[in-house]
Amino acid sequence: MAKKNLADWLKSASSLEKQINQVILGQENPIRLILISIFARGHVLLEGDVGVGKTTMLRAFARGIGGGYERIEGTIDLMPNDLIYHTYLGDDGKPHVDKGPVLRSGEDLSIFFFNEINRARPQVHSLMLRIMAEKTLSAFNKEFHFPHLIVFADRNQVEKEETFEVPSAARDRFMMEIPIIIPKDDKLMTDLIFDTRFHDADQLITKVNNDQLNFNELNDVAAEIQKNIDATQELEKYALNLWKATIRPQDFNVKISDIDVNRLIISGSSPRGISMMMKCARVNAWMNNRSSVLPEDIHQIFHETVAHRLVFNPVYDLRRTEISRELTTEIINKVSAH
Amino acid sequence: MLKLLPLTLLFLSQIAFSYEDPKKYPDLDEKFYNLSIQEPSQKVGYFVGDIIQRQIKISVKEPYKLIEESLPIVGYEKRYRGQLLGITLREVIKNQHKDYLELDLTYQIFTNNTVAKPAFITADYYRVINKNKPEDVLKIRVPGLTVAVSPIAIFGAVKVENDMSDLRGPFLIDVKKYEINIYKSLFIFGISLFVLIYIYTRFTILPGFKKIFLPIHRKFKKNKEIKIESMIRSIHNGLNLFAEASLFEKNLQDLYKKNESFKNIDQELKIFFKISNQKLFTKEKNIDEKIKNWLIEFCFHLHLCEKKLPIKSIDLKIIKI
Repeated sequence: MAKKNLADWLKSASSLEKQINQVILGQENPIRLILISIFARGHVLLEGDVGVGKTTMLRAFARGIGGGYERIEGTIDLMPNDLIYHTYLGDDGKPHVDKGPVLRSGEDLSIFFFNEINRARPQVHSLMLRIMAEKTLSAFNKEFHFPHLIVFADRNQVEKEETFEVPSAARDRFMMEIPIIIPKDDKLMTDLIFDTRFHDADQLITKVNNDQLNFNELNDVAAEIQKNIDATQELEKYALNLWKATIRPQDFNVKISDIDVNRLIISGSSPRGISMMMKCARVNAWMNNRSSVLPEDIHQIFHETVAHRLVFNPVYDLRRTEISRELTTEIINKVSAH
Repeated sequence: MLKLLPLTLLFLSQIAFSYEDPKKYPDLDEKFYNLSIQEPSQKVGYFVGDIIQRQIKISVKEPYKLIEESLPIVGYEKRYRGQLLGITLREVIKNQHKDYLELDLTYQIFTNNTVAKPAFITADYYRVINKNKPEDVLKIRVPGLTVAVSPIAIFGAVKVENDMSDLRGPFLIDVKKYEINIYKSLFIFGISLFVLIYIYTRFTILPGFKKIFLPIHRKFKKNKEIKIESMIRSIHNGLNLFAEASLFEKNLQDLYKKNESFKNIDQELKIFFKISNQKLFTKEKNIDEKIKNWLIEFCFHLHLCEKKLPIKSIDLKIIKI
């Protein structure tokens, strides 16, 4: 694929980003990060309260990308087969088997949204993780492939009752964990209350043009981006130091108020995590119309690609959201890039 | 009348003790002793409470020995012909050296005659005894000192013309503390002047002041062969050290919080980060050797900001990267 094509893709990506920003107010950074994950072909864990616009945002993306969009709600009684098929008695009085949300769109499935993943049982998690990792599923004596699939899962960090925490190994499969926060700007908040166009999500997402990014070409584009965006030795050294800092932050003089940093980390970022971080940094460089990765590209995605992979000492795990943000900020502040 | 006799005798005996007859003991031959006296330079213009200091060095040769009890003692009021002179010995410091005895005598004036009149410390007589012949007691005469307790010339004994400068201020009881204050003020003034000169001298660096950017600037100036990458890294290290954080374009505010002066070169800082990104993190080779001069100049501007010295916007070197 020629560089010219990448430039055209960049225009399309920017246009989609602009349109989604008009539909979803005050979420510029999450929208940019989701776009990065789409071009880096990684799954995303969304973290945020209910009603902040996660579903609408994903539907808008699905519309812009094209392909199939499916969604399932995580509940305590959800079983793995609920994702694959459902049975019912038809009008003819005979039992029927229909495809479940995962199989419904077949190979065209481009976005699968698992709402409240932490309410589902571990059996469901394991099925989902296999689909995420291998992009295949065995059912009805057949192997199904989902080459264009990106999974978006949402979890509510506040409510803990009747939930099954996504284990660290499962979290590591997600490329990013993106916090979705209610906008703080008064003007935006007022618009969300009084502007009637935000009241009807179905109508709202029609503002995003259909199929702007061809979902079935995204894998090739992603590979092309990774091939064309350089990273110098200096940057490699910097990325390596960042990784080391996630494992032993005390070696880089990282300090967090009221936290014993020596005891904080049980396990730092995985090699997969850091490679995903670099993938995202390359996409960010491309989206900023550069041919090389800068430290700023890493900073933009560092927290979202690394924080959810860190395993904290259980003493500190209850304050995970707050501590991980401080930790990643402090790592960037302390690790020198030059 | 008989009753008055003991009182009269008592009175006469008091006079006899307080006013020793110089003729009572013969003088010691000069070859047996050395006497040197350091008199105060001021001879006139003394007022009540003023201090007069004399230093007497005396050595007595064998077989004679100085009688300690004949030396002056504190509180002894000098009399002349039975009259108190108004000069009291206030302090005696004895220092016995190997060959001689040093006496530092401090007198204080307690007379305020308004007429042109001398005041004087009468001559003292220190007795010596022959070690081999104890009944042989002799005396050494220590000459008196005449001073004036009035600014008016008197009796020719004091050379007023040597000591009546207009520049001499009023004589104070003890000038030492004022002198110390003057020295302290001079010291503070000196330090202030030094600091002021340091602050307003652009090229100054002092050892131990832990300045960051001037040594880097000097290193660049001295080593013309230095690589651009190395220069950029040195400047980054300096910035990181100063900001106590890894500094990037997006967190320049951390630098400004440490020292607002850096805001003055905000544009140059942004250019520097562009240069740094191009040179260290991209494979494009748009940066040529000419940028070295800009980096040297930029480093000097960093130094000025570090010292909170003003930089005119006209001095900024804005280049396009």
